[in-house]
Amino acid sequence: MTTLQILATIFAAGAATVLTRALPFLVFPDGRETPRYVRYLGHALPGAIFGLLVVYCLKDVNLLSGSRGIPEAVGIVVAAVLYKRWHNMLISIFASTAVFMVLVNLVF
Amino acid sequence: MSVVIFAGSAEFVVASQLAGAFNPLATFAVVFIVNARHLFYGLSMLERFRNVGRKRAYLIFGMCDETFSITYATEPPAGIDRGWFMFWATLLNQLYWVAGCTLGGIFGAVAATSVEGVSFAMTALFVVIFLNQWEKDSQHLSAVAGIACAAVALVAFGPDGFMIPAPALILLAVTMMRPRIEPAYPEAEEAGALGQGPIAADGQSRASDATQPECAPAARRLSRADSSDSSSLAEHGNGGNLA
Repeated sequence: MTTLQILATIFAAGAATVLTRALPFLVFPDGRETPRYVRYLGHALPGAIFGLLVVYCLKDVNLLSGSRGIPEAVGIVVAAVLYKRWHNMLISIFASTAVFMVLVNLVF
Repeated sequence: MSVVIFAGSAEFVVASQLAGAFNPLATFAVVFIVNARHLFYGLSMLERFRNVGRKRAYLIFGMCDETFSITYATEPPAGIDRGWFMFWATLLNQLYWVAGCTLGGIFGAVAATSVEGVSFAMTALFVVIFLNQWEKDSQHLSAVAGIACAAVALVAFGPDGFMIPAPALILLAVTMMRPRIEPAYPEAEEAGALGQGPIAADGQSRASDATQPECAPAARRLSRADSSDSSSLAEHGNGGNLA
């Protein structure tokens, strides 16, 4: 990518972020009550969205060839077990990434 | 980058997009979906951001997970203006985040890491956020539905085309399961009452058997932030600034 394309990509991401934050205030201006359905979605959607994001990260894993997704599976288990143990996001992320990198670079 | 975007998980996504082919529209779509939960932070803050004057625009721009939990759940100390309280919480969180990213950028460039597998950090990040959300959520049906819908969309549309149909499928599933999911959020009506004004009567009756499932983690974090000075408030922001 050229520098200009990098900047365009970053600003596209910035615009999308600002839009997600500003849209509710534009759609529901001051002085109007939020519909109950919208409030329900605010509670129920986050869990589903995070599940979608995990699947998004694994979208290019091929179960039939190469390392068959084994490093990914091991990395996720490491991240989950460490998180259950210490409830520290950074420990989980760093340790599981390290394990994953060892697996893809040295084992598979 | 973190100045313009200021959204942790989105920055991870953009970092991986920068390594691929140039496609700003795809970046826009993915970032919008990644940050879609901010739509609901915004909905919750509609009332709070009233009457704060010109600070409002910055409060909207600077919203993130931690800032939301602080500004949504804490009462400012007596005599402190709520608008300024929210303003400083937002600003300190953001400064800490941007400083951390810049340091990482400088030292990352010096260390010059180009080893395969670093991108797994994003997978791990989302796995951990998913678990965190799972633990504080009072029902798990929607989380399971999210994974199931995403998996179905991935098989049906392939890795390059599923990120648009998948959220639509999730919205449909969560809407259809509303009668089963909604009773898990009785305090939703209470929170709604605090922030949004009048509420439905049936919400009140169900609120009686509510403990404090979803508000508990936020409250715990707040008591930490509350009992200390502003520097630890910022530190708290870094603990998992994933906005």
